[in-house]
Amino acid sequence: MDQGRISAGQLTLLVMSFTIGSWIVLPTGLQSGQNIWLIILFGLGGGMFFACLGLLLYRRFPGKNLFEIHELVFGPVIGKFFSLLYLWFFLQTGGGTLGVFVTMLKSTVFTATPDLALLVPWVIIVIYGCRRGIEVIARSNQPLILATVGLILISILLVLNIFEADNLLPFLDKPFSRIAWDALGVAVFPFGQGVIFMMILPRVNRQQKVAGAVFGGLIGAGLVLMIIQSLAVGVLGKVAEVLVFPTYEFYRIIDIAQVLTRLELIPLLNFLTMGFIKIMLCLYALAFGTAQLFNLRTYRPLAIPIGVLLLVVARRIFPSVSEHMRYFEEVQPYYGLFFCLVLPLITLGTALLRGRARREMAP
Amino acid sequence: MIVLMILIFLLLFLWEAPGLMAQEYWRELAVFTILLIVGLVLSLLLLTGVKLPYIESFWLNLFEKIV
Amino acid sequence: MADDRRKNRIFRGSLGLLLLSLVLSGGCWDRRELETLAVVTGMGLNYAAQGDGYEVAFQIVRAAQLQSASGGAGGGGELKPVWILRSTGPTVFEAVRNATFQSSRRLFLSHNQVLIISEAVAKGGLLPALEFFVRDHEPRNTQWLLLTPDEPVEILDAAAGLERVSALAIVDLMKQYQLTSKIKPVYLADYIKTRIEKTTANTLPIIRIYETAGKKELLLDGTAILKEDRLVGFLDHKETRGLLWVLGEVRGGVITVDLPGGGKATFEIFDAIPKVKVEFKEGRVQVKIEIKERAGLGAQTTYADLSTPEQFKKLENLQTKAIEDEIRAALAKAKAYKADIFGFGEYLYKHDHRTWQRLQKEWERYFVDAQVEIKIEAMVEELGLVTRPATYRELRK
Repeated sequence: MDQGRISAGQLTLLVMSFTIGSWIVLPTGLQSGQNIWLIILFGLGGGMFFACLGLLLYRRFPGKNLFEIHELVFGPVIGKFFSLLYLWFFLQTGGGTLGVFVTMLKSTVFTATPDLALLVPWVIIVIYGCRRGIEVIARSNQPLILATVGLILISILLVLNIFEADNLLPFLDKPFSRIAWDALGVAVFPFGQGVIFMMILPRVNRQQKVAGAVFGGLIGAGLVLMIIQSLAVGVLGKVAEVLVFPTYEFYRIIDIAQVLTRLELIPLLNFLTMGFIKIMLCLYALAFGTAQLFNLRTYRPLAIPIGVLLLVVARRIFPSVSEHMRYFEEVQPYYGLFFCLVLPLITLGTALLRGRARREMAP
Repeated sequence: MIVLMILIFLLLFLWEAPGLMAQEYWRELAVFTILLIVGLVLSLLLLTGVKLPYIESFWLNLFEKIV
Repeated sequence: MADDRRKNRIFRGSLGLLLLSLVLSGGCWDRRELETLAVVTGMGLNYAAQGDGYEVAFQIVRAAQLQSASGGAGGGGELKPVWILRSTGPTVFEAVRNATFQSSRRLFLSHNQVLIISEAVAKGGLLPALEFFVRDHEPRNTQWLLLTPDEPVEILDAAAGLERVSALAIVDLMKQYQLTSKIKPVYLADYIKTRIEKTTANTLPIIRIYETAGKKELLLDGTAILKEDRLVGFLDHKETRGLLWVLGEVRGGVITVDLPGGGKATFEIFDAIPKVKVEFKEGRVQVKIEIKERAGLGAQTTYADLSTPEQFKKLENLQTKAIEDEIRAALAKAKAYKADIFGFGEYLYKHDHRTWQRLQKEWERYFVDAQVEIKIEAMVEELGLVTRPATYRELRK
C-alpha cells in the first residue's frame, strides 16, 4: 500500500482544496440570496461538527483509516458492508464533481467540444496522480491552492468599483426554516464530504496535529467561499439567484478602465484546479479503499479501472443542470447526512459500547 | 466503435497485467480484471445507447416515493 | 541518500502532474480565427413586420476598412466600415442564427456593445426579447441598453459623428454621461437586476435620429420609464437628473439658475452625495432625501459681482431650489406613472423587510401616497479664473 507521508500543513491545504472543489462554481443554497455568507458560516459550523465526530472516532483508533475502523468495530462482514456504502459515496462524489466539471465547461467556453474529449484527458491525469500516491497529490496541490486563494484575494480589488454592499441587505429576510435547510445543505456539501479524509488521516506524519489541520482547512475553505460568494452577491445583487454559475458571471462584469475585462478565466481556473484535486482525492480513496476491502497488497493497479468507472458515473450522474440543482435542493441534505452523521454516529456508538464491554470483561 | 472500445480496454489490461503477474500479485490481478470488466460492460452499454438510470434522478425518484 | 532520491521522485512526479494537466486540459472544438468571424458591435431589436417574431439588426465591423486611412483615393469601391444586416425569426436566438443566410461568417456576439430596442418591443415586454442575451454564453451582461422611437436599424446605420462605427460612438456617449448627468446609462445587467426587484421600475435612455446637413445623426433624448417590463412613460433631461440626484449618480454637469435681479448664472457640479431614508409611519411612506452638493460658478450673464460671501449664500440657496425643483419634477412624473424608479421600495426591503413584506402587494398605492422630504445642502466653492465680470469698479474708500 501507499507508504507516502504528508505533513499536517499539506493536509490543511488538501482539506481546503477538497472543500472548495466544485462548490465554488455551482453553489447550493442560492435561494438565500444575500444571506449566502451566513449560510456558509452555519454550514461551516455543521461541517466542523461532522469533523469532530470523525476525529473522535479517529482518536479511538489512531493510525487506522475509516475502513480499518469499520472492521475493528463491526467485524469483517458488517464492517465491509459499511465500507462498501462509503465506496459508493466516494464514487458518487467524484463522479458528480466530474459531471459538474463537464457541464460547466460545456455551457461556458467549450460549447462545441464533445463530453468525452473533456473527460478522457482529465481522467487520465487523475489516474496518473492517484497512482503516484498521496505525497504527489499533496505536493501538486500546494501551488494550485495558493493560486486559487491568491486569485480570489485579487478579485476583491478587481470588484471594488462595482461592489455594492447594499446588495447584502436585508439581513435574514427568509423564514428560519429556509435558512436552516440551506445551511444543512452547505454543511453536508461541501463541508461534510470531507469524511473522505478519514481515509487519509493515517498518512499524516505528525499525528498529534491532525485535528488542528482538519479544522484549519475547513475554516480556510469556509472563508474563501464566503468571500467569493459575498463578492458575487454584492456585484450581481438579486441576479445571482437566477444564474446557474454566479461566480463565473460576476467576473464577466468586471471592467476596470477597459483594460481588465473579461476575466472569466479566473473562476474557470479556480474550479479546474480545485475540482482536479477533489476528483483525484476521491479516486485515491476509492482505489485505496477497494484494495483494503479485498486485502490487496497494493492499490495502484485499481486506479485505472476505477477511473473508468468514475468516467461512466460522470456520464450518468444527472441529465441536466436543473435536475442536479433539484437533487441538491431536495435529496442531498438527507443523503449527505446519512454518510457524515448517521454512519459515523453508529460506528462511534458501537465502538464505545464494545469498548466498555471489553473493559468489563477484563479484570 | 464497439471493437475500438474493447481494444482500448484490452490495452489497459495489457498495460497493467504483466507487472502484476511478474510479482505474482494474483489477488490484485483478479480484482483489477473484474473491475475492468465491469467498466467495459458499462461503457459498452453507454455506447450502444442503453438507458442506464441517472444516479441523481434515481435518488430523486426514490426519495419522492418515500415521502 | 535513499531519502533524497525519493524526494526527488516525488518532486518530479508532482511537476509532471502539473505539466500534464496543462497539456491535456484543452480541446477547443469550436475554435474560430478572427478572419472567419463577423464581429458584431451593435444590435437592434424590433418586432418582425410580418407574423409574430423578432427582427434583429446587426452592425458588423469590417476590420480591414477600419484600419485603412479614411477617405483615401486609392482602392476602387471604398466600403463603409460597418455592414448592416437584418434577419427575422420567431425568437431572438433563431433570428441571430438566421443571419447566417446572409453572412458568410458566423456572427460573434461577445464583443457586442449596445442593444437598441424599438419602442414597440418595449411596449410589448422587454424580458422575452432580452432573455437570450443573458442565457447565451457569448453576449456579455455589460452591453448598453437603449430605447429608440425610430427603427433600430437606422440608429445602427446612422452617421456616427467623429467615429466610424455608430455603436462605439454610443458607448462613448454613455460613458461621458457625467458631463451633464442628464442621461442614465443602463447595462443589461442593471436592467435584469432591477427587473428581479419586485417594486422598482426600470429606466432606459432614449436615442433617436435627427437630420442635420443632409446626414442622419444620433441624439440622446431623455429617459423612458418601464414598469414591469413595459414602456409606460418618459422623463425629459431635467427630470432624468432629478432621478440621478436621488440615485447618487450625478457626477458632474451644469445647473443654471435665474438671478433675482435678472440674468442667469450657470454652475458646474463637482459632486453630489445623497442620503435616502425610507420609513413607514402613520400609515404613510415617509421618504427623507438629503443631498450634499458642491459646485463652482461657471458662467454668469449679468454685470453684478457675484463673488462676495453674501452673494455666495444667495447663490447656494438658488441652487438648492433648482435641485429640489428637478427632484420634485422627477417625483411628480414617477408618481403620475405610478412607477417607483427611485427604488424607495427596494430601500425599504433592504432595511426593513418586514414592513416591506406588508406593503409590497400595494406598493403602487403607497408610492403615490408617499411623503417626500427633500433637504439640500449646496456649496459654491470655486469661481473659475476671474473674480467678477470685467467691469470698472470704483475703489472702496
